[in-house]
Amino acid sequence: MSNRFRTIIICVLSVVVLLLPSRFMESVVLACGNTTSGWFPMLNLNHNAFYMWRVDHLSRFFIALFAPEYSAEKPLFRFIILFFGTGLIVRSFPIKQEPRLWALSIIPVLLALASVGLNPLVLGTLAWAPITAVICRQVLRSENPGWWWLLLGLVVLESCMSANQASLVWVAMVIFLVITTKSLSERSISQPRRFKTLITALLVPALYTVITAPMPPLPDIPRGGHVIAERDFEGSVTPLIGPAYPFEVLDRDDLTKLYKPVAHNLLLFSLFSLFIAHRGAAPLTRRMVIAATALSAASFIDTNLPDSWALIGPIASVSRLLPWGTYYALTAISLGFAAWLLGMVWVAAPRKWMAYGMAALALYSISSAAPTLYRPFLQQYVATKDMDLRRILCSPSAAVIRHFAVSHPNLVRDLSEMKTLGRKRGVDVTTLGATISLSPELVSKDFTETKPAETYWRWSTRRGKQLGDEVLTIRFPSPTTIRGVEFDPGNYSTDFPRGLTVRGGDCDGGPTRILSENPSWQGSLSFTPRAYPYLSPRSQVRVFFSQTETVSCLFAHQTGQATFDWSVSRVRVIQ
Amino acid sequence: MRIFASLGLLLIIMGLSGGAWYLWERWGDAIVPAGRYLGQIGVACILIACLISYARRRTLPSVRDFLDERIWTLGLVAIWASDWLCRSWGLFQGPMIRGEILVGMGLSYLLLKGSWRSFFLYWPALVAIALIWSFHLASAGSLLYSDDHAMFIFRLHLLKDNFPSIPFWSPLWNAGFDARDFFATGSLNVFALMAPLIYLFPIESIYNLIIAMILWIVLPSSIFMSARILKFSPLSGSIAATLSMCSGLFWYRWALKYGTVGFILSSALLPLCVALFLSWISAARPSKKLCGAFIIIATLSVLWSPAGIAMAPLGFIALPRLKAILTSRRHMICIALLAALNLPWMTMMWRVSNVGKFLEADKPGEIVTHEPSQIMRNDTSLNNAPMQNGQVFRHRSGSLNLKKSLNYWHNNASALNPIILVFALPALCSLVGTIRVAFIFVVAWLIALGTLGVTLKPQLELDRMLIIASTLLTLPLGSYFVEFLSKASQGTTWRLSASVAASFIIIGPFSASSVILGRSDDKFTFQTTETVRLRQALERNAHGGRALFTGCVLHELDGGHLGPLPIWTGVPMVASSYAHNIWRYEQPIPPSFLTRGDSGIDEFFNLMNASLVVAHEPFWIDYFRTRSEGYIKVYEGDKFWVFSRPGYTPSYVLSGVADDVTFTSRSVSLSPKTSSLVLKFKYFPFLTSSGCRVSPHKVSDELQLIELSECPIGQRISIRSVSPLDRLRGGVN
Repeated sequence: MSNRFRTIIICVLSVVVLLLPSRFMESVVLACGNTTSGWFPMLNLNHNAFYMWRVDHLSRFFIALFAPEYSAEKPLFRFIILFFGTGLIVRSFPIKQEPRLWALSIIPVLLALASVGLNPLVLGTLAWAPITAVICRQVLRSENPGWWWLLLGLVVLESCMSANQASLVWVAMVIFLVITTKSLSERSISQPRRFKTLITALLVPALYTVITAPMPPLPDIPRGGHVIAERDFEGSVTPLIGPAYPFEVLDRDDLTKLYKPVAHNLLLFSLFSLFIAHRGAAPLTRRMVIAATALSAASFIDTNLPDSWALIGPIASVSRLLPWGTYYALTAISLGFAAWLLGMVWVAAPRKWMAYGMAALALYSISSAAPTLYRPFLQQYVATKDMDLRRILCSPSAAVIRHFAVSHPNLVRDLSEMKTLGRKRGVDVTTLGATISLSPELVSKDFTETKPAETYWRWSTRRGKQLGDEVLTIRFPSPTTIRGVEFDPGNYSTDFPRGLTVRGGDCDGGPTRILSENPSWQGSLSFTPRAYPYLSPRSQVRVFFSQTETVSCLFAHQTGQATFDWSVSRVRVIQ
Repeated sequence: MRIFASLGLLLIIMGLSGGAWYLWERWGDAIVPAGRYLGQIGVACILIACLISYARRRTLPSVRDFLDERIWTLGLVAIWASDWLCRSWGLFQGPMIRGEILVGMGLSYLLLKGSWRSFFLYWPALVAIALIWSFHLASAGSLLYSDDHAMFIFRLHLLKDNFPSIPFWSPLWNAGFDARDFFATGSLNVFALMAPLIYLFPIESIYNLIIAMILWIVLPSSIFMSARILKFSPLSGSIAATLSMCSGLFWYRWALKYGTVGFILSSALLPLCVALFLSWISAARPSKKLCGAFIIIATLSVLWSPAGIAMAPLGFIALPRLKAILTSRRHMICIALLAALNLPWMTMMWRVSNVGKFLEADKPGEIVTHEPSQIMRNDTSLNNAPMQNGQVFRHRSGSLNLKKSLNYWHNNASALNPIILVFALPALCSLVGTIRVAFIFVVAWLIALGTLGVTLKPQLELDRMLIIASTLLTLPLGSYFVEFLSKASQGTTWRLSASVAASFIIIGPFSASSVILGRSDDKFTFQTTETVRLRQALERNAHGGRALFTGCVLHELDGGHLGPLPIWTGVPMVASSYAHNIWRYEQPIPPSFLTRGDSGIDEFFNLMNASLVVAHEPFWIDYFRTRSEGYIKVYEGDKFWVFSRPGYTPSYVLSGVADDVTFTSRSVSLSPKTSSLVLKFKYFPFLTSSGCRVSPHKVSDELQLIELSECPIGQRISIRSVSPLDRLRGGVN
């Protein structure tokens, strides 16, 4: 069998092996609207990154050929592009040319896939980078680069449609690969003018794409409302350049939870490879492993350190310097590229057993670390026929569903009911004859000027802080049927509970059941006029139970910590 | 020894600029309770340096010994690690910006390996594009309207219609006003530079473009050209141009929030003016090109009149060359042309704007106007109300006060780009020859004016001189940083230090972008639908009368002044202030009318031909709502309510008969039906008429209207100001 024929067979088999895992993985994003032409909104189901996206022309052609099974969210065509690009770079490594090189090329791609799942953002950014770098090398070293310039132009246009808002990150990847692989080319990059022209040819279309990318449609959430957890630290986290959404969308809590183990494992493997690479490895390999280690370390800082440090880490800082950077997850791109680079390092390793061993170990450890990378929680609702729910899932409000669905399993089913409940006015418990007591108690009496003047009781421990041991007890004169309860802090809007668990039952000291649990109070579930759910400002403390409850006593446990009192001016029940 | 010398001077600068210093954030105990402690340590360090130098070399340390770049970089490190970046009103808004600075440092470290020259050469172009894009995003297609921008739009309209016949009388505001503030506000320089655009396109459609051009094309170009004229390298010019676009938060406050466009353009051109001046005085026979450029740029700069005060030290710089200049024909022609261009308008300004009186306006003498509710309740507390201590301005008047001056300096230092604050002195000292002397003198003078001068002459708002100083400093800093960054190849410590400095050059524009996008503490406003709806309501309901804004109106209309409303609606208006010329509560109804209650107010409205009254204060809204027989609400907006006066028939004639009263921005025309008329326009002594005799008609102590006599009946006449030349010659003001 000739070498060429064997190479083709191995390539085909490699592509099949490459595409196999994706058959068992769910896409981590939801693409909304018409995905076959122009821009459409896309939401990451794991961490709520929300932006407009496009499918490049070649992918659309591929989809048209193999539709309807392959949709825009399953970026399978980009796997093939990435695989071939990887193979072209691997071919230039200083090792024997063999058909097995193509088989080895699937290692970096599989690692990238394992690190970030079926993520069009990462794969779209990464896919064309290796091929573009190879073409750039040809442009720089050719005597007559005319055709190569033309090919570069076409590839750049395709790449910008593939990477979209992350085009500037794509440019950085390409420049890195061009510089890193320069020692392997027959002539080094000694033509500064041509290199500058090359940089311009890469940058201009990328900048144009980033500047002209449209804003996604956002729900009309009122001022003060939010869709993700608010953080308690000083300073605002806003992009320094480019458009900004009126409220935070990217859920950093979920993002860090998701990628934390991946970043941790990648960093360990990178450091180990760095240690090995120092022992006589080629310059190319050393550069790649240093880059992989740096990216893994940056991702580790972003996902494993507390917010006050992570937000001045390299990834968070770069995301604020890039237009749209705070809206797509730069961490995912960093992890994907780091994993790909690490795979390239192992492919280039002289001892193949080490490459295969490390790759297998890495694949196993990364893929077992974060199951939701391959099967997002919200994926179960994606195929819904409920158009209202589909509309909500195609918006940043999906984060609200994701959080509330954990504590309210029937939330999705009961959305309309929750919307109706949200509009209900509560009934002051004192008008029902209920009594209120606080433990530990120090009651203060505050007068509020109204017309006519009324006297309000404010329940507060007056300790100047919340310690997590506060319990507010509401005793009804008889068993009362309620669906929710509201604790109004009145004029003391910062005195809301930082954590709230509401229990209900009899007043005779018997067992009580948990009616609602919020370890970190983030505001009440509310709905916009167009029925998009959002979280109210945290000072609005309205808690809804997942079903109607009949209780004689309600016990509200404040479980958080804060440097503010917990104050309750009025207690209302929603019936 | 160099370490002690450099450290000592750095500590003195930081001590003077910073006040108390905290570690990382402003919590707990300060690590340096007051700036004077840093100053004391600094002085001690310098003394040690002097001792060491004397012991080694028998001489005191030289200037170069105080300029070790690696030590001065520690100032930036201190700023990064302290609470400085968390203070309010900073260009770099922390605490998160620390991360970006680290990223910038990493990028700089890599760039300094090889291609940093190319990067920084093209960096200002990319920065300008990015900042223009940011401004476009922030505006979202709306007109910039914050504060004085509204007035600039109004002034550009008036100039477009009336230049060069300025000053003139305009009937558009307050029953006639003297349109003369073009000279004092510097709007003439913007008009002159942007005249082609202004005449070709509607002003509203190009105003944002004008601002963008001034801030991100004129300014960096001016700085770059200045650097080249001073024989700095193109790279120095590029770095200087980059720094000019991110020199400090207050630059954008004055440019985008306050809208003092004349000052901004003048500040952008002053460095070029300085460079051209230095080149001009040092040339034995300056070329025609140099002379022409100098005359044009100098004229455009001083069209904002305080620029002359700012550049006063340049006169002393020229003294050593005075003899050569006076004997040089080319120089003298230049001076003559400069005088011929500028003396006429300066003289005009001195006459019509009462500059002398304005300069003395901080002295006691004026009584404050009280709120109407007080007067109408016959508030007896007013009987003993204290005399107002002089006219009120943005700053309080007082005598020389070092503590207050230091406070002004602290506030401005916090808002500066830290790289300018830390490296200003080393950069100035790195210059040579006349350029060094000139820059040190001018910068020191500007700092003195901007700190000490503020309390002496609050009406001049001399704190703006610090903005000019920071723009000027970008020139020596550009040259300084080229040398500094070139030293990166000398070793790791040099490369690290250079990276720290370069990171601020890279990240500064991003901070500027965030300011432009409204993501800083300083916000500015664009026109919203509120203005559009108000305009429509006024246009629809005026029916031949004026609209009168009750209460004190300053920035209630989308954060800007009311100025352009008459142009947009075709309805003349009355208000306490349509521009920014008051600093405390004033309202348009004179006390003599207010004290008479409803009948007095009604009479004043009739005298002003107010067919519409506009209210935004709760007192006046309630007043009109509770008098429904006299006022009917025709519009209710977010801020303004408009009421029509159904019982009033609009007419601009108080006594006599005339019809077909029409307006332009500079005149009123009518056809008198009687030979004597009293018109509802305020009298000014410089008014004239094409067919009648103009005299004052006193209605009350505060109000004189125009009386026309000997009018040709049936013949169309107009009332306008005498020509500017007549005003200048005749002293009629």
